[in-house]
Amino acid sequence: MADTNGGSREPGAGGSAGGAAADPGARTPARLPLLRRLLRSRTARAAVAAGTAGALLGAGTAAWRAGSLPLLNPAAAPCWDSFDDGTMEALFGERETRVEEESLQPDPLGGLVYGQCRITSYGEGRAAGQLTVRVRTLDGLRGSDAQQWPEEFLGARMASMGAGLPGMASASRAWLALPESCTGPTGEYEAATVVDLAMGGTQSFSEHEEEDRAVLVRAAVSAANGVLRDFGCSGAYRMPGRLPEPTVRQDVTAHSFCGIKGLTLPAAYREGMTWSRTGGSGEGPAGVCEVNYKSLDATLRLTTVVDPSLSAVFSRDVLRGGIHVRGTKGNGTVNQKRAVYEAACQTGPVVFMVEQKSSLEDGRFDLTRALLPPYVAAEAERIGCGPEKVAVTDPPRR
Amino acid sequence: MAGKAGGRPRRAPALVAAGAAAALAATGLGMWATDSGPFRDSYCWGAWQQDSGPEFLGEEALSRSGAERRSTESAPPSAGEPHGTCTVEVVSTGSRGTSRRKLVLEYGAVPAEARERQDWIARYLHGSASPLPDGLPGFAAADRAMLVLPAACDVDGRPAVVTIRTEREGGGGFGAGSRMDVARMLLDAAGVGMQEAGCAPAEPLAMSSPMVKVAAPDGHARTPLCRIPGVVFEFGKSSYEEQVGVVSEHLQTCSAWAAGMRGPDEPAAQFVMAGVPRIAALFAGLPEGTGKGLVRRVCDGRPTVFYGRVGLGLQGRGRPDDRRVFESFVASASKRVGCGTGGEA
Repeated sequence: MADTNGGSREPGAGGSAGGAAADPGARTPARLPLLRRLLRSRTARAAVAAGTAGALLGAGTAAWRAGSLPLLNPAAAPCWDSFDDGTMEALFGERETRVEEESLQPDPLGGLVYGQCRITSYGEGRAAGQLTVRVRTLDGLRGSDAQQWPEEFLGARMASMGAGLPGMASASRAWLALPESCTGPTGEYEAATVVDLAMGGTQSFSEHEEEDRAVLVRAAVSAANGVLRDFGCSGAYRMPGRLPEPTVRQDVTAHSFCGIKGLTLPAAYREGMTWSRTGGSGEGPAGVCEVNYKSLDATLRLTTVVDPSLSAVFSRDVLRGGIHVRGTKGNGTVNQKRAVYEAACQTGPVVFMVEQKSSLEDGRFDLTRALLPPYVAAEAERIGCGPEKVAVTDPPRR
Repeated sequence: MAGKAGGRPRRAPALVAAGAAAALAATGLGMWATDSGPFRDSYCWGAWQQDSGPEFLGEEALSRSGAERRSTESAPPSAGEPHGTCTVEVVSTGSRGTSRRKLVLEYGAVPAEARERQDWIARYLHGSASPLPDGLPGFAAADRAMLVLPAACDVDGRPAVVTIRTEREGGGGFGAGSRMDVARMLLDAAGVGMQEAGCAPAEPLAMSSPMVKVAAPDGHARTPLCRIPGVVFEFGKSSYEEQVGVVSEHLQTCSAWAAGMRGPDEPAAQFVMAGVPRIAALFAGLPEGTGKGLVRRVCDGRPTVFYGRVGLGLQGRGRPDDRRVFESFVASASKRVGCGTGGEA
């Protein structure tokens, strides 16, 4: 109950501005004075309590001799006391596991990574599987998370977790943002702090995709709650009941493209693009559609990031990603591989992105320019941010 | 304390005694360090305990020399008299004069009179306050919080609410703790209040989730206000600030106020969309109509209110006019949540 975050560090910070200026101290929980954080941390207090109880029972001496004082080595569950036996079994079955866990603290000189935890499972004497859990603040300023992280964690296989949880998951990847009541509000150049989980390759096919995704969602919620306790933040995410519908695979036809109302693939590109896969969902943090072209790899990826704490990841691309484009309520840039457009919607900045991942058969590499305007127009309408008209003009020639 | 068990010649018991002594010392240290001594003050009909977490109830609030915490309370709410007020105040006198910080807890019906209700809405549905988690119908910031109680607690047909507000001598409020701390205080007070008033639900109101989104301070008022298309004012030479609050499927809040004046509580403009039944109930009884800034629609089968109020400073400064600004708000917010053709409620 006494758990508290940094918000209380600034008594009366509201001043004459009252609530408007009240909460910012809640950010960067790990910068709290260490002792105070420990004292307020439920885990630490539990450890103290466990320690004293043990001592009172007379077991303290033995424990001390054995070098296993509970205070120093609490029998905590793997990954910041997150994964109970049931979760471990769901993830790794009955296999033996080895846990390598870093303590959570950011690089004192401005790092964004708090730490990671890796669990390797062993079968028949050799490594059989591996789960990596990372805790990190996404880079909303310099764009260093604008490529690899979205590639892995905002793919079309990711479905939103639903139940108000700010996260997404597939059978091999999951991420869940920490609540802003713990991290402080995110903003234009401040992206979310996320717990992300990776287990196996992103392209692996499984017959048990939905079961695997459900297991990963539960693991992500457990891990996020473990991190919240470690940070001394109050509240815990609830386990979602039924997960939202999984991602949808559908054929590309003359009238339907990614299932987006009002969007069709220009005829010039239609040949060879046979099916698409749509991730996210109507109300999740992001919607994604990947379109294949004569292969299993996604050639084209269309992404709409509604959650401002995620759209910040692309802020540098919006400003400096290529040739500038302007539109009704926003602006962006276009280059061959990626077109990014940010509109000021009522919910905050929303990023619309068109990416071409590889060239078409005849070498064409011009999808981003062609598709950005119709994609933005259709998606802006879908999310209630329309009408939005973007003009992609030819670059000035010199 | 440890001496009683010590002094025996045998080795093992001595070790045990030493262990016990260390443990007792550690316990004492732990209790001291976590401010959880055996005797604690309680406030506001027993809803809150000293040192229970929120900064304002802890030792830190008393860190200035001579600081004192006092509490006053009315009779608790009852079935016959379903209202009550309680205050917790910290007063300290130092070289820079006397400082007073007062937290006011109230239980009772929302104000009946329209003007008072509008002021109340301006305060507690302010953009700086974020919705409570777990679907609880209320809002919390570090310096204010409000929870609408279940219909069983209604008073004369008006919803009963529990509110927390803060007052600092010289104007403005202060942060009594983190948002979550203040939200927890609110829930605890609501539990006690409903118990006393005899309208507590069988299943107590529970809050376990954190707040996914909280409002980030926005600064200068923009055009359009709070990013809502068509909500445009001619600010003139005055400077205004805005705060976008929640923008979700069933709730939207936006506040604007004159910079540097009496702060957020002197509202220049406020816009609210509420499709949460208990929040929408707060608007019942206010004058309705587009010209009066309150209309109802049915959005996706859900009765939803749209509310707009323009304070003296910005009156007549809406573009093209105040009425059209409100119509634009209704149109933009409805469209956002897919309520284009919901029709009048």
